[in-house]
Amino acid sequence: MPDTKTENTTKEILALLQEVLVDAGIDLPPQELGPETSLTMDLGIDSFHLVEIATRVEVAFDNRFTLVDWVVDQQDAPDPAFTLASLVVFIQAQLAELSA
Amino acid sequence: MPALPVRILGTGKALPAKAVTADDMDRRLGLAPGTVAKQSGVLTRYFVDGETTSSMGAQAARSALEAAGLEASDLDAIVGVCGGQEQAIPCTASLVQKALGLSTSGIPSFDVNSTCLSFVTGLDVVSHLIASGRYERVLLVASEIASVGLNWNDRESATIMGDGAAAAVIGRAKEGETSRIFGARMETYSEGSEMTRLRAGGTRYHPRQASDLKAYVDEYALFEMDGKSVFKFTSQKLPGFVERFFEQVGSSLSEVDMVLPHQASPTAMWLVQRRLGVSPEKFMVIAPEFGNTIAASIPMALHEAISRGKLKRGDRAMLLGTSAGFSMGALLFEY
Repeated sequence: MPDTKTENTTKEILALLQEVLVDAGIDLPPQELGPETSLTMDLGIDSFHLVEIATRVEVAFDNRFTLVDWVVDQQDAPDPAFTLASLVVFIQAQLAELSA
Repeated sequence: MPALPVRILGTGKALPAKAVTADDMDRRLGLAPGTVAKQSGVLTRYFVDGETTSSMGAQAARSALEAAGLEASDLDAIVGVCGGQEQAIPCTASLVQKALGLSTSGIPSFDVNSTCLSFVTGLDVVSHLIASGRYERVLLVASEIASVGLNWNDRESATIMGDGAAAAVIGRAKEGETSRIFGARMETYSEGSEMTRLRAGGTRYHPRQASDLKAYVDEYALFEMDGKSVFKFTSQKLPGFVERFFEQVGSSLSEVDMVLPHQASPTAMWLVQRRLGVSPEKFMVIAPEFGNTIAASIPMALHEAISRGKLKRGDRAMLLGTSAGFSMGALLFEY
């Protein structure tokens, strides 16, 4: 049985990320930005643009945490790295740590 | 160790006349408009078009001397703090002395080099010489021509670098002046010495050994940077370094009014600012306007912070950076 709370949170976070990406000028409808979408491989985002988007995500979460560790970890992750799913998992971990 | 009664008397900067925008870079690299701005975050950099390391250094020095209310002949020493030299021999400080019209002055002129950290290292060394009474007024000058060694096939490094110079005149704080240097720290981890390098220019890869000059240049005389490794190394090492630095100088980041970091790249600065938890208002960022000007970047950030009213007399500031080596350096002072 799925954990409804986590499931909802995942959907909410993904929806927020889709919104951030569209606001950042990613020219794709939100429904095409799924969990397996890689920011680097599928959307061609890297270097400064990647941290610019990371900054927008941090602001969307009221700067309660930083995405530095996610960016550093994903540089070593096997492809496809920088997926929205990995970002959702990272954000969930940060939120859980903050509420602990 | 007690704080040293050393004061920054004046600062200056000099840029080549030719500004190169991110759009110019897109055209040069055959990229879609907007690519370089998005990927590097550097919107403008300056490339030389006839200027030399020593001519830019002298221009920045004159500006620093004017800000200090001094003449070039008032200097006791000229210290070159460049990452890249105008030529292998003699040292750049000697060539700057000549460009300042001081070629018969006898003013001691020498270089201190720790690549991008040269200004921090130079200021650390010179502050002790001033505090001990060896010198009264010293010019530190960093002048860089990064564009000469860029690898245009490596977009990551080619789009973040810029040319330029910055200088500072340093002297002993007078009675009643609170300016001082609290301390400095440097750590070098040569396990990272191959992450950032330009192999030619020394004894190991001399052009005399080359049978094909173009192949030699492409292989050894261009700037190489493994950006991902530098990013990771910095992320791992910097927080501990900063902790040890503040423990050594007996202060804390919360007591610092302005952090003046090496302008490695907007991406790297994002990492440092967040990793250390410094608020954006206290973190001087000029890389989008000038790019990474190697050793000139920290004194240029210092000069801009003063010029823009972000750093005032009595404020406490921290110079912070990383350099090829791999080294980390920091210095805490009251302006």
